[in-house]
Amino acid sequence: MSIHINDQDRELAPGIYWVGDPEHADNLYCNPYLILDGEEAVLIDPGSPLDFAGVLANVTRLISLDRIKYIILQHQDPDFCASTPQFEQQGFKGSLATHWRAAQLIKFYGVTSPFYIVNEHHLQLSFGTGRTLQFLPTPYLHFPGAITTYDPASKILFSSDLFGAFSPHWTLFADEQEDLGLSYKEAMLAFHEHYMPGSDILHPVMESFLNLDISIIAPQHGSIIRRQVKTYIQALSTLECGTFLTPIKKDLSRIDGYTGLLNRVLQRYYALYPKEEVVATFAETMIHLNPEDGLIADYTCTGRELWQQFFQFIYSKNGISWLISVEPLILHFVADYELELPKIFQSALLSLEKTQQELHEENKLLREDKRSLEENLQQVEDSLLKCPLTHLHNEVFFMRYLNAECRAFHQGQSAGSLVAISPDSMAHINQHFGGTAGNEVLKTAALLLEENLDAQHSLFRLEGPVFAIHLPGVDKATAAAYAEQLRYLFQQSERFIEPITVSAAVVAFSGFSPAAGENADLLSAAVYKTLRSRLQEARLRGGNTLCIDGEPAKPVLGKVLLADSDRAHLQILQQALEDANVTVLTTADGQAALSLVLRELPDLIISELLLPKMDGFLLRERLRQDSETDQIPFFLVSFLKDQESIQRALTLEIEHYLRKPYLVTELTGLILLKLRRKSR
Amino acid sequence: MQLSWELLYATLLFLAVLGCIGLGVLIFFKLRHQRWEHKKTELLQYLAQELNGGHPRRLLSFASSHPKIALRLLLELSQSIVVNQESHRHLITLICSTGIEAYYLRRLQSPNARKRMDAALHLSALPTGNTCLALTQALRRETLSNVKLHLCSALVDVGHHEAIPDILRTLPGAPQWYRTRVNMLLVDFGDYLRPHIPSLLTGTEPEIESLVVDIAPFYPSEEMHQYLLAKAAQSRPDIRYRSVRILGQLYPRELASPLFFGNTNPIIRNIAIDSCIHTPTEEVASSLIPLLADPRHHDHAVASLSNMMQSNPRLLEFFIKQFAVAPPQLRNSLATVLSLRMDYLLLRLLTNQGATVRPLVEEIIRQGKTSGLIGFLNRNRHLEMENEILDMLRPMIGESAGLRRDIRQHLQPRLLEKLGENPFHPPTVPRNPEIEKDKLIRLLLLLPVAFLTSPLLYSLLHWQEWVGWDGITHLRQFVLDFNYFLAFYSLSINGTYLLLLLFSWLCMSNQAHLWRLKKQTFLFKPRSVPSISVIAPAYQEEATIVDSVQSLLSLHYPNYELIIVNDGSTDHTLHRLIAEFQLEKVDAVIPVRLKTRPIRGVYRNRHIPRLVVVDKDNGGKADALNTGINVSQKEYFCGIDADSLLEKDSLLKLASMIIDSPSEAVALGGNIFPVNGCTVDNGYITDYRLAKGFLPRLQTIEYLRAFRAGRLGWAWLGSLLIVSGAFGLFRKDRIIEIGGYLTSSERYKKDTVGEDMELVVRLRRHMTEIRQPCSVHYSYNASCWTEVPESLAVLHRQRDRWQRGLIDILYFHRRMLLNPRYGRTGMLAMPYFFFFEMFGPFLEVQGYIMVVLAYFLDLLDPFIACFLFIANILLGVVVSVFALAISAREFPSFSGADSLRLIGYAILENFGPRQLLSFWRVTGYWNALRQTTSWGKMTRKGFFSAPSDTPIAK
Repeated sequence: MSIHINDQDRELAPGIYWVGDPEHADNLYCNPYLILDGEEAVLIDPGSPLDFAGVLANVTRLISLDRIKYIILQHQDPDFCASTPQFEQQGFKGSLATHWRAAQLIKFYGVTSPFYIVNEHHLQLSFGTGRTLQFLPTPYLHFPGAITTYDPASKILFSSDLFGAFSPHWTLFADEQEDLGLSYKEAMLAFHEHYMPGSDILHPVMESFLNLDISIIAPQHGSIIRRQVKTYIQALSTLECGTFLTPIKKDLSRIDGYTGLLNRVLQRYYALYPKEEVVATFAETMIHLNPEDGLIADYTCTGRELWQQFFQFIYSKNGISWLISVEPLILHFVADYELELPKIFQSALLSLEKTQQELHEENKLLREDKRSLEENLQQVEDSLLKCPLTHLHNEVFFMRYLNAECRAFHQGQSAGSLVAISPDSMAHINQHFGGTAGNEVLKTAALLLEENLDAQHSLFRLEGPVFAIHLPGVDKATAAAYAEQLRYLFQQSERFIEPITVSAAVVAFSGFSPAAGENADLLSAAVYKTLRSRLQEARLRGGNTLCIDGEPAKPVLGKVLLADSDRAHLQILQQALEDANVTVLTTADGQAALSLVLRELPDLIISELLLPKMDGFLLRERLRQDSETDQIPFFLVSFLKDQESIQRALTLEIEHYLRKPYLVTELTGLILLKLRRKSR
Repeated sequence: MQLSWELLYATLLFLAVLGCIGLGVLIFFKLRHQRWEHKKTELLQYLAQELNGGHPRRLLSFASSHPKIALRLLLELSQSIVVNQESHRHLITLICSTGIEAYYLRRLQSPNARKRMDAALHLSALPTGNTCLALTQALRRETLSNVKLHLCSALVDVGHHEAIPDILRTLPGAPQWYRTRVNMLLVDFGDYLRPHIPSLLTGTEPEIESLVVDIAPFYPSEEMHQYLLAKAAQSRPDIRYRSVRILGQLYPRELASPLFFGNTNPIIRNIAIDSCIHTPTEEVASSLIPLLADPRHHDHAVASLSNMMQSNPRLLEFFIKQFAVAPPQLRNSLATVLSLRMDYLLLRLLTNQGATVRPLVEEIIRQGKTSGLIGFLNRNRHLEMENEILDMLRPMIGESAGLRRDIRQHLQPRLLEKLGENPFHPPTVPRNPEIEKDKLIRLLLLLPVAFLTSPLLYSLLHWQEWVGWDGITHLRQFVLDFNYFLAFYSLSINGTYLLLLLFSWLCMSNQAHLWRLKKQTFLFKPRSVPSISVIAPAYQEEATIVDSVQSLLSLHYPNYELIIVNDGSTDHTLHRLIAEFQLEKVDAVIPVRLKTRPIRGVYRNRHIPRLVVVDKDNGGKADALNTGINVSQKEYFCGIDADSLLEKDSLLKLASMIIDSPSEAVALGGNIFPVNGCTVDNGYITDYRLAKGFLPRLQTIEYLRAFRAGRLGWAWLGSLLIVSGAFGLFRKDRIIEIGGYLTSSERYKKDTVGEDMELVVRLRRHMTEIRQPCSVHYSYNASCWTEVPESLAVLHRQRDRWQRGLIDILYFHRRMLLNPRYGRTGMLAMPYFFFFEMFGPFLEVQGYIMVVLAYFLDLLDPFIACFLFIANILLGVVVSVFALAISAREFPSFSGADSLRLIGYAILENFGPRQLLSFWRVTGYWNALRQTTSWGKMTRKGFFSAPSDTPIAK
């Protein structure tokens, strides 16, 4: 297969050339680069003996070897270092720039040139003109001494193995893959899944790349990324990889499992084949696709059967080529989730027909419609922005979503409110029941939230055990009521391993004025920060509470509600309290007491248990549904006080429970003590 | 005829005087009440100011001028609050100085028991040395247990701990009810009782043992511990069991020891099992699990393990592990325990533990615990979860018909479709009453008797002229005689009422007195009043059900539960309840003590533990009540109409009568009033008003008369036969003994429309037959407010039903009629109902026809007209006025204007309505003949409250 590369394409930026040999393009194609600066040159990752001839020709066309001052070897793998001795033989006179760890190994290729250990030179390399290249260490990706090279002048990142890809149909640029109807991003992810040791190592590096001004990424393998560079970085920054070393997803529940996995397969299909064909595959089967997004809407069998049947349908309608195109993904899933490989894949046909089908597949792919491809790529991208545990959109997606909403708000559209919910006792649960139980709590919480979600609401899982819900067009009060409802729901739910509570926070967009000239990004950052800080405030207030403003609730000193149907009792107690400078509200029935509490928010409630319309316990129960009223100390005073009622009072967190008759001084003393403590 | 004008005039005068007395009484009560309220407000004000050190002088001057009122108020107030002790003492000294103390000290020696109790009560508010001494001496002298109880209570209130030995001395040989209450009173002495405990521990009398066990939880010590251990090992059974129970509460760890678990007595083992809930640990749980296999312990172990799991969630994992390794006979019991956490288990089906959890979930479903599963599926939105569960269910549906029925009834149609099932709503099976030929024949035979009585009487009176007179003369004489018959009949029936009214008065003043003697603090002591299940059957009550339940949930009563039985309503009754009270279907095991129509589901909200809603197939009110009795877990049950409202302390007033009842109180009834004019807010009456319409007002005066003049009087006579279905309290075990309300499902295979009266009659009959003295009470001040018909048609249906019910009962219990074996019930009450209520209307209606006939025949001379007027109308009005006057004793009562209005209606009702009611009674007889047993519809208007149209969904 011969690929012709235009000369102007080879020059990525003024003086920076791709010097590879397309003749040797194969599944793991190698990209050497040359930087010319005045009289000097630097060759990056020259390659292996296999493509040496081609590379040498490309280099010498541009510059004689003796003028190359450095060969940068970003790590020690043979595919890039093996041809170095040959360059030396052909007349290379410079030094080999590399990490000290790599140098220890590179010498075994039999190189003779001196090493320029980057660690000893402030991770920099300067040309005679003063132009400087920066080395960014990327340890353990996938070698301890791996580095990448950044050229601030051209803003090109020579990314070594990072951003590489398997390329069955190699093109020089990643965007050209899309012209072929392929997704470079998927290929890139597949490569990283195989070669990168773990997400924990990969993600921080990607975070640092996000802060770097990069125009082009020039990886060793695969294609050069010159457009939408950030999205590729983001894709890697959320990738779960390293699975073969430590199968981190092993314990993932299949809560969204088979459906979720197959939806990802479907999305891959939509990227590869015309949507109609994919949809037609499942016509008249027991799998129903959602006509809007093309994902699985319903099916009538168990998850395990679905996993088998799905590929049966694919095979029977579209033949082996469709299976081959997703085989790596499926193998990946099988390994990650400890699944059984669908039987159809195990069939012998697979390997026999493989080569024959490849051509056929290629033809089909070429017929893809470009517009639908872009749309589908967007979906693929979305799927990468999900939390693997809860299958909700993650923080990265949320930030993007928030940005978009803020932009809309900036333009004067009402954007509604945000609610954040976070379980209070995650640390406790992880400690007592283990991390798996902790994950289960989060999953169950996500399910519970989904159950209570309206169609227009959007639910996100943020960093840490935090969920965010966007309520479009909803004002703060309604959002707060909704948040209270959720908070109460969690408090009452029996689905968790032990009863849990959540802290909640509400932020309304209307609280931020879209000032002229103010940036939407700034606004979204402000909204996000406020949401986080209010959630923190809610936690600081002891959890199981809702925070809707930044300030801690200010106690109104000394307002007490008395609820009793016995007028004489009320009158005496009211007098006693008023004498002690306490504002007193009185009411004769439970219903009125409830509305009075909601309206006046007293600092303390003293109630008879046996109240008309709503008894003391029910009143307390209703008050507990609102975190604000839940925290109001509640005293019971009643003729009735027995084992059962005491127990109930304790579960309702009633602080004092006096039996009538009681000493007025005792109760007033308790009340004053409580009020004084509170104001302190 | 021996009647003369003079006699008539005298009667007229007498009645006028009587009427005036009635009015006088009415006004007197009104004024007395107003004065009391006024003085109370005044004194309260002084007391409140006194707290601030304000005007003690005014308080003291008030107390010295109105010592009795001050004392009563002090008594009332000190039940809920103790103000500044300094001024309290001051006030007491002052009240004593007025000589009121001496008055009550004298009264304490009165031969009248009621006066002694009254004195004890009042003296309890005056803790002086004299009082203490006098009360102690009175206790030593006293022979009656109920007076002793009041004396003990007073001694506790004044805190005279020197009297403890005297109180202890009253215990041996005293009745059970007295001892349980006194035991609880003794605890109120607190630490003062402690010095007496060592001697009590050596006591051998069963009464003393019982006392020690009762007070043991309050005085824990090592000696007490050893005592309980000794008693647990060897004593009378009830003492043993109670000892073990208390040991379980106080020293739960010891019960796990072989001494109890390995005890040969299964009951002790069960108590030990129950007590394990205090130590929810894995060790205790694992020692309990093997006991699940023993049928004698199964239920207790399941309950205990369930409770342990609730209080220690970590046991859940342990039980799941145990289930996996348990032998088959334990698996189902463990599944029952774990079914409480169905939601949690279902969520784990799709995790790595799915394989372990799945057989467990299947076992739970096989146990019939499907509520959690169905609720979960209906709520769930997660597709994979749904399919996983449905796949699990699919094969099981075929296996179990019960599961299939549950699923088809309760699962969402969408899910049912996926399962290949279709929804199923149980059809309401029409109840076809059996035709009772025997009854038909007897009733038919009675009919000629009813119509021939007066001709027969006539022929007896005029046998000499039988041949001498011609047809017209006979007719004229017959009509004239009949007018006299009617007058005499009216005279006798109204005379009976007047007599009953007198009894009512006696009964009422006695009750009022007894109620005043009862302190709230006393009533709310443990075991003072029995625990009660309030059972409200509801059929098509969507308009009022939520208000009613709200009102019934906040009754002023220490220990009760509320059971709403939805009798297969086809409207939204059940949905309203579920939505308003956030109920969830639960798996409850309902013991079948009475056979009833099948229960469809039990709904609860764990935050309103008092409320139970039962949904069942339609089977009529009696069947619904029987279902409620099965569900009930309390000693007594109170049947009430779901459309009725109780005043908040009605139940307490009614139940407190049980304490005073000399013999076993098997049934107690309360007042019923029309609610139509009252303002109701959230099931709570905020404004008591006379109803607006003509018909409701007529019924108001009618109800007043029926309850005040009728039932209260009958209760005094000890032969009350009707306890209204709208508000009646019954001893549950006795009702179960006699087979509950009469239904076609229960033993008598018979439905009746007068189930409330029938129950009391059968209860009395049963108690007589097993030779157990019993009493049926009627409380004058425990009120229940119910909606009365506002349209003539509905009223007609109601009265028709009542009459048919009455006839049914009289027929069913015909053996009791005039049977001396059944005492006053058989000789007095039953004949009254037979002659005046069933038979009388025939005579009355005929009589009215004759009056009209006499008018047209120009036979109506002024004398007979006057006589008829006095006997029929004036006497009736006097009865009504007196009923009204007696009512005024109880607050809230009608305003002055309303009272006048009611007197107007009492007059008006004699011209038309009364005759119509009698006529309906006759047609009721006719309908009874046609064997109609339908209830007739009652259109509900709903209470006059803000519409509470909360949507069913969230």
